[in-house]
Amino acid sequence: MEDLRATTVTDDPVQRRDLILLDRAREGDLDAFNDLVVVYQDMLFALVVRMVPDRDQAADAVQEAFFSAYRNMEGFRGGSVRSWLSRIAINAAMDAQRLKKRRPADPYPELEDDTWQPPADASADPVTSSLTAERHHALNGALAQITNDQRTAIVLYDVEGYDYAEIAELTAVSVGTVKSRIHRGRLALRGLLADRMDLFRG
Amino acid sequence: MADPTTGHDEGELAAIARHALHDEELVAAFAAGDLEDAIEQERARALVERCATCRDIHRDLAVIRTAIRASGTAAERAATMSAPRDFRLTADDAARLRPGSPIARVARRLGWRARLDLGVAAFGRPVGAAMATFGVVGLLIGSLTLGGGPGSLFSAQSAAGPTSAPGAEGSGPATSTIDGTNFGPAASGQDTKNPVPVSGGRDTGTQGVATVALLGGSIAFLVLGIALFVAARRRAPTVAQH
Repeated sequence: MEDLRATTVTDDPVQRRDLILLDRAREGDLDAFNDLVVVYQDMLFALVVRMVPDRDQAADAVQEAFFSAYRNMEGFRGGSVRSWLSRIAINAAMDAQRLKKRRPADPYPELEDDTWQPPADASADPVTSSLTAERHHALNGALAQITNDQRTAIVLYDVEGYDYAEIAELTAVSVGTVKSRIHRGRLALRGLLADRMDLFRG
Repeated sequence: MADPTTGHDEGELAAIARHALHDEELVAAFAAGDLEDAIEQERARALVERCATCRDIHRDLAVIRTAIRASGTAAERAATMSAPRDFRLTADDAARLRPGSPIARVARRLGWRARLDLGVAAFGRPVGAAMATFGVVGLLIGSLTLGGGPGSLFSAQSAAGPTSAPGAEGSGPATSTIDGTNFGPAASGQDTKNPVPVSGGRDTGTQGVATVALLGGSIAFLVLGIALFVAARRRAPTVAQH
């Protein structure tokens, strides 16, 4: 009988590798799962730290995401392993946000994400590079101050390229609510960046 | 003339007051291209054309959106930034997260869970609906039989007369129940210790048991059918995605 766990045959070598690793992991090979962890941990951390702008909490959320993925490997029914892991990480990030919401006395610090700067154009002059870095810093600071729901929707839509319906499914709200969160979030960002809009307009 | 407290002249103050009535979220939706309704689009366009503040919002939101998009996806950022710790699982983590007996491990290897999920997703809805329908029909039949329709348990009993009415012994048609068997009216002058079974009394008792069994089975079918239907509905979108 055909093994129903067998996943879709794909031409993408990365996806094929992921599927093989996951199949091995499901058969009990922990090293195979840890290979997946090594491949995706940086990406998932980069995703989660945008939603949970506190590096320690973001790291905890990523660890939880990998635990959850390991626990629920049987739930994977084909497709992209990367998307599956991203979804689990997004859920873990939202759980971390909810946890944070219960302890509002300890607000997020200004996004501790200065370890990364947008790649500068090789031909860019120092002034442009400096401007890009300053813009990035200002934007991250503002993103850390809007509500969790707004930040999640904006990061998933504007940065990660999910569509409205996917975000609605991930966050368990209607498409209209997702749109509203994005619009209000952008308006809130504009308010927070009001004194520094010249940085962006240039 | 300029306001001494704010420094704005009257024209500016009037513009600010007018803008206070404008729907900024509508302008934001317009800037994002999310307005599908033609009337709302027209309203938003009019605001952007006639109100300087709305125009600024429209322009700034486009700029902010561009800046956010340029900030790099997680995959792009991962190329230059590292996670602050190693998230690999230890053997202890693995044992804690996926405990189980050797049988469970074998079942996991055989993929029984995936098979069950796919089976439920594929057949759960029609089978669940059919089971629920059987359950409802069974309940209807059972309650008719129990509740007084023609040939029902109660009507059969009432046709046989009152049951062991106090003071009715030997005074007229009556039934008594011994060990679950209905007995008909004692014959005139006959000792009630030697009752005469009424034809069909044993059948009525059997019918009662059958009715209760039918009702129980119907409820079980109904509950299982609904549960299966709901489970299939939950699984279907996930399976369909892949």
